[in-house]
Amino acid sequence: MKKGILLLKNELRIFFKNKIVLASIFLIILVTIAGINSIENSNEMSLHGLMKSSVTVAFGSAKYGSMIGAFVLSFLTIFTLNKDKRKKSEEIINSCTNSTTLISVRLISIIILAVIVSFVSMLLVFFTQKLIIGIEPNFSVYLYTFSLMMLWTSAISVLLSAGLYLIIDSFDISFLISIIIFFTSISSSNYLLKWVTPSATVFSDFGGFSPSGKFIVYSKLLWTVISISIFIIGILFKRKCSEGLLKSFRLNTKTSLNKLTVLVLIICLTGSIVLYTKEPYISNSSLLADNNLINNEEFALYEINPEISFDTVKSSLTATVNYKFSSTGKEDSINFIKNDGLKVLKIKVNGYDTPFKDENDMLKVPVPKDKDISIQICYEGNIKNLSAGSFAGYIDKESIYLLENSYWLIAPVTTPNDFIYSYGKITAPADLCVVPPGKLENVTKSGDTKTWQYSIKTNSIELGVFAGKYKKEVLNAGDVNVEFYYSPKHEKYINDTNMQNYICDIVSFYEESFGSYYTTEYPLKIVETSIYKTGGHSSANVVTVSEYMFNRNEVCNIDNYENPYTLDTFMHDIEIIAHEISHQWWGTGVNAASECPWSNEGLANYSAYKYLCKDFPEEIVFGFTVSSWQWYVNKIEKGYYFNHQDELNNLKSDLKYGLEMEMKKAALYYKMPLCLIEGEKKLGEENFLNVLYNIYTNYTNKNISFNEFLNTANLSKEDIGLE
Amino acid sequence: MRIEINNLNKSYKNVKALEDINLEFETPSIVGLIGPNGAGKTTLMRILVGQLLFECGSITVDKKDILKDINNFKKKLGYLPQDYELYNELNVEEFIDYMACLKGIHTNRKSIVNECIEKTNITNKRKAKIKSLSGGQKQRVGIAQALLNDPEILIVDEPTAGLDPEERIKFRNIFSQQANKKIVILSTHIIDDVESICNKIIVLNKGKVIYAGNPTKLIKEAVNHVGIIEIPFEDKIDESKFKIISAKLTENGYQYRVVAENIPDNFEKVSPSLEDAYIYSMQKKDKSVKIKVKS
Ligand SMILES: Nc1ncnc2c1ncn2[C@@H]1O[C@H](COP(=O)(O)OP(=O)(O)OP(=O)(O)O)[C@@H](O)[C@H]1O
Ligand SMILES: [Mg+2]
Ligand SMILES: [Zn+2]
Repeated sequence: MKKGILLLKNELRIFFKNKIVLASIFLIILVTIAGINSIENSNEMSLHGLMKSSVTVAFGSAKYGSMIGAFVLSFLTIFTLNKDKRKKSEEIINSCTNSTTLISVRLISIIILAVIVSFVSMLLVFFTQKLIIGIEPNFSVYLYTFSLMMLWTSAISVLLSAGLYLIIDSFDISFLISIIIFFTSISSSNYLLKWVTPSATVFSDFGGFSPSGKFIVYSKLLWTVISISIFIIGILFKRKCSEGLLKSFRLNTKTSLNKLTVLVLIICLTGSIVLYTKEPYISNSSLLADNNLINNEEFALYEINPEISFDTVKSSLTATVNYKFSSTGKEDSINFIKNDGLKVLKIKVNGYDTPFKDENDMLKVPVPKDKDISIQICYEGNIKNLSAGSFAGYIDKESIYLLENSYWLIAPVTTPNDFIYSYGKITAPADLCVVPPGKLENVTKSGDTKTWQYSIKTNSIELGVFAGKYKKEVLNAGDVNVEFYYSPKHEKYINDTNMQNYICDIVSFYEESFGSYYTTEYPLKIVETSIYKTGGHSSANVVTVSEYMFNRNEVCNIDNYENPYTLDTFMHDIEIIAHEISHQWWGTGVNAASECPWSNEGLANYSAYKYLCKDFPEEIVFGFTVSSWQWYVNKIEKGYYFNHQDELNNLKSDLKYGLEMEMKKAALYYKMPLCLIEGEKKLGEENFLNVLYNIYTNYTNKNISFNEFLNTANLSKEDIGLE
Repeated sequence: MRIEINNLNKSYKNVKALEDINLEFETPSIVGLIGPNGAGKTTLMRILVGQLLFECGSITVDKKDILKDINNFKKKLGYLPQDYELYNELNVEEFIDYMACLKGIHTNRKSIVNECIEKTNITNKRKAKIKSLSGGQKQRVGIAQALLNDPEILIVDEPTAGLDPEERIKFRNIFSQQANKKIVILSTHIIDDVESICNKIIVLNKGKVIYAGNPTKLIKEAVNHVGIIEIPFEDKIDESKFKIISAKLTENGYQYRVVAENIPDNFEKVSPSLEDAYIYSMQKKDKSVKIKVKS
């Protein structure tokens, strides 16, 4: 021990005399500081102009720090281990000491260097924020971000490249392989491979770190055991007595292989395999991504009553859900789709316990051939997502976000009745404000939890639950009662931009253009959610909006804007909000039964465009919407596979799926609004809006097909630029 | 300390570098290892310091297998290889201190470092960067690091190569001062060095030990096998019969000094030097011997 400390001190002393080491330190610190503004200056609209805070500053610089740290320290590690061979000092050094000890000491020195560099960079960024940017920094945010991202990544990089060097015994090749691993990690979309940079673009100001931080921690944990394994394997293959790979290995196993090393190696190897294969957060269900499930028409759901309790510490939920179906009596089982993180505990059919088949994401429940069927399903577990980048659902201490397509509510694959009634109870920690769908009936407090009771009558089972530390504001947009739930952290921006006015304005505009809001029974709920899911969403009477639209650096004054980028960003935000709110008319109010390109998405984009034209400079709006849709549609329609669709079948299935999705998106989101604008030109704006008004009023709570639309509008496909 | 080498064999891919080596070393002794280029001197030394494997045979240190306890052996070892570099970015004192730490010297490190610097006469260069040193000065630093742990066995591979005569003499003295409590093994091509300080010599040729023992004994073996003759310019000496040691130009022709199994009567017989004896021993092929090297 005493000798180890002596060696370490010794190594560190000559380490800091080396010019390359000093240059590396300088480079790492420089690049890390250069990352200070990287989040806000990003091209991504969700990050562009995002409010500067400890989170963005620390995240941006730690992200740069993790990349440069991994890269430079990998070089430095191989450079150091290769030193004696390169300098022909190997024999002298080896005659003095045990080479494994020396290697370990040298690696520890590099890791100490990593600690120092991370800490110094952190402090420099911290004080830059405090003194130059002038925003009071939060030290714990810094400590968390820098140690999780920069330091941990650097340490993994050191072990990994050391192991590679010891196995390969060549400076060039091992460094090359390290670089390949490094770039694979950065460009990968699989979060398990992302040990260099995080899978999230930034931590959430609204929802805290853990929904995304858990992915970072998990991938780093995995790579820690992988890199320790590779390092130990490297030690076993370390060249000895000028012998080759295999002979050295035999020699090493004879001399330096002790029980502890073998044990650690076995633990780390099995650890990496277990961590990789038993990955807990990503769903491998194909059903969750599939929106073309075929409903079983022999059953119709007319009531769904969930009782849900959230455990935010364990990120889990416990649920008992009662379903009521009417049945034609022809079939004897109902399929349910569920999130594969959930585990079914018990099922009762018409009051009796029933055996069931739980196939990960599909649940098959046998039922009697009765007219009325009631099913009770008890389940628990957590929510898995399709990727680490964008969430359909999470349960966390700071907030809960459960979109219907996360299948947190186990959903029958049956035809919906004309109306579905839902009464539910949602229990969550008392510090969270829960926003259930429909109408809030009652809130009761018991101990440190609160139970929120709701009721809703809806035409689909698309129900989401959201919770956070919200401030609730009631707005009156004409006759519509709007409840606006937002984080008090973003109150100032919301007030400064008069976001409430925009929301009311949008709602009034749609009421004037298309007709009254489809229900007077429930308020329209607008809910801020975290940046972990960008954009917004609309289901039942709830519209969600990602936090960044309420958290920008600069307040845009549209009558007198100084910075065109600020206006761009603000318009982008308002467009998304207007798009999501318009889904309350086109989607929930009237459902444009999707027949490509006829879609709710097309109508929503068109509506948002009409709204923007009212309030913003028209030529800018045009460039922002119509011409960019045209550009995108042109790009897709010029594509090879668009014109040779029969050849799509020759492609690999995921490639084919990707291309098809791209084409479909272009049709639904961009082609369709262009068609509607064509129709508007044909009929004149007033006439065309009248058509939409009539359609909306006549089809409220119903589906409308493309043909019904064309007939009502008296337009042909050619008139609107199709075929 | 007592080192025994038994039936040691080592070959590289297709070169037999050492063949059936049997040697013994015991404290105190100062052993000169001589032999032509490629004889296997470096190979033998690298095996002795545990940095090269051998195929068969054994090496024991105080009856213990050297490979089994190599880390313990390293504590007693001082080694300077033939071809090496030091850490150029450090100065002399820093480097010696670094090496002292590697050797695990924690008590009195400073004074030990100073002592070695003084012993090897580099005090005036102690603050100089290694890369600014001359060849001889660098050798001194190399020796200084080998002496740090006051090794029981000091192995130095051609320490005097490339040094000027004065410097060489200083070096020889450093080793002979060390020898009283140690085994010192040094390899060299300069017979003079061996003659002046070694009490034992080992002659290696083509991987075999052809002589191991006392230098005077080697000289004795060459008595009557060294001769001098003067040959006029027009005549020629029969090179197939003699090994020519030197050819000195005189007024009438060349004066040759030769070594041969049989010196003809027209040659003037002279008493052999160690160099003559060494060359003579080289002549005698396949004469592997097992001779104990003891004081
Ligand atoms: N790494 C190696 N690979 C292959 N052959 C080698 C290697 N090292 C040495 N040899 C061969 O082994 C033989 C002995 O070499 P060694 O270096 O031991 O000789 P030496 O006596 O030290 O010579 P010198 O006086 O030139 O230093 C030589 O024939 C040499 O070519
Ligand atoms: Mg040699
Ligand atoms: Zn939409």
